[in-house]
Amino acid sequence: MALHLLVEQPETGQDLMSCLSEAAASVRQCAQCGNLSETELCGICLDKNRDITSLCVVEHVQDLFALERSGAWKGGYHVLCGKLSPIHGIGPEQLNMGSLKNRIQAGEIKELVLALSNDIEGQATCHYIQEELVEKREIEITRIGFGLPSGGGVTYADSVTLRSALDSRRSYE
Amino acid sequence: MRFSTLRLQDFRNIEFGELDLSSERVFLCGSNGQGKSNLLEALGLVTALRSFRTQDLGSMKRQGSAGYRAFYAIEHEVDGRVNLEVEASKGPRSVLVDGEKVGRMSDFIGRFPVVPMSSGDLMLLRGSPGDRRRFMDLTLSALDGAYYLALRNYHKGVAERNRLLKENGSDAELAAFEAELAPHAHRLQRDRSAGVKALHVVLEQVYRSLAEKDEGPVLSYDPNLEANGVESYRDLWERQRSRDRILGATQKGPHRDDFKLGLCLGSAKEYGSDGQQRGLMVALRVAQAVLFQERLSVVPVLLVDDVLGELDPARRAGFWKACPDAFQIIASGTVFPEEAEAWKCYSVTSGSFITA
Ligand SMILES: [Zn+2]
Repeated sequence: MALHLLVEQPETGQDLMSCLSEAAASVRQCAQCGNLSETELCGICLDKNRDITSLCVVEHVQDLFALERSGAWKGGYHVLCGKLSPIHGIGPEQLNMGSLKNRIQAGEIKELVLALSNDIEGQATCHYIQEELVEKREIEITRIGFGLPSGGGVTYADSVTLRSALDSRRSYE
Repeated sequence: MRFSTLRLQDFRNIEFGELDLSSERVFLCGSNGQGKSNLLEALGLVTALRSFRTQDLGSMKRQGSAGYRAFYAIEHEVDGRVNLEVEASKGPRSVLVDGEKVGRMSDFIGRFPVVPMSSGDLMLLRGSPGDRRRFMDLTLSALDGAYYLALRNYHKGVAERNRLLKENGSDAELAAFEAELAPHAHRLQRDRSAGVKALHVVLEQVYRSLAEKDEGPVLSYDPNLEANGVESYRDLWERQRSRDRILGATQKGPHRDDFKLGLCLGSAKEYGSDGQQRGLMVALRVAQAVLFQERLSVVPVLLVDDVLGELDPARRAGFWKACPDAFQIIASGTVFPEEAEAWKCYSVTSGSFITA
């Protein structure tokens, strides 16, 4: 939001500071997907042209931005706000996991693309989602962390890499 | 590969040093504590950014300095002439290959293979399983970046699982980490088993030319658990959970592996005489170098830190016989070698190097 103001509306320079603080005050998490939003639901969740039955699960809002910039994803998102890491005190309760569970239990999700980091914590988080949230439901699950440079999450991949990762996504298990 | 130049700044007792290493044989001569081992240590960093002398990497900068810097000019079979720089001050160390920053350790490890030989190698025989694991892990990581990645993920995963065990984490979280640890554990076990076999084959050949009279060397994989496939690790860790929770740590897995190393002298527990042990360690290092050469298609550099002088004359002669001519050898000692004219020699005093 602040970035958008800076880049797109330089003429509002003198009002910038007040704009920024207003923007910061009005930004919150989308109640459905965890994206940044000024309203209850974010623009992506409200977009009628998107297929919200396919969700791309990411760790951070920055990952969502990177995927949006690449134009490679036309479904919805779910932002976890991190990955499982007991060492850092992060368990399922610290993540945006409950709302993902609700979305899955509501029965409207057909596909989950897990775009989490390609390390042990990211992989364990994928496994947890599969076993604890999806369980036996008929949802197609794929991981795309494998196609991305290891160590770096989605944010660090360029658009071409992201697109090919999404295109070549393969079924998990 | 061969080193042609080394430049060091604020590395241990070396404030600044530049050495022309463009020779097949380079000898650093000086009393103990003058800096010759420090120089070999700096050369040893190029394989995996590890020191062969210490695990405390913070201790390598000169006291009172902000950090160290090392520059290497290398002639490389694959990459041609390469300028390599390692810089360590605040934050993570940075590595530049021809001015380009290396982003991932798995792309760097093993690209510039060197093999250190020092009296510390006796710890591989006398020390803990951890000493032997470090040796094998470094060898296998240098041969295959994917092994290095599996190893790193495995260790991180065990640490995460241990935290869950200590803090009464849920079975669901434990299951998630166990399931993702299993393929890494499987890979480590598979690669260790195959790698040790391959190293043993080379070791036998090298050892024979080093000490013909002696019985053969023993080198075999001694896994902590006999798991058969990825699933068996998952099952095992699941079964172990209650016990592991009590102890607060993962008791079983490749992080507890060992390797049997010794000489076949009748009883397996026997390690042999001091001379035999030193001979075996030299043979192991030469075997490591030969394996690097075979698998990486790059001829490694041998860094020989004061060990040739400790060998008896027969084994020393054996070393030269076992050691392929193509290896660049950079050695150190307290006295100049017998055939000094074959070497480019430096005298080392208080961190300074003078052509001798
Ligand atoms: Zn949303």
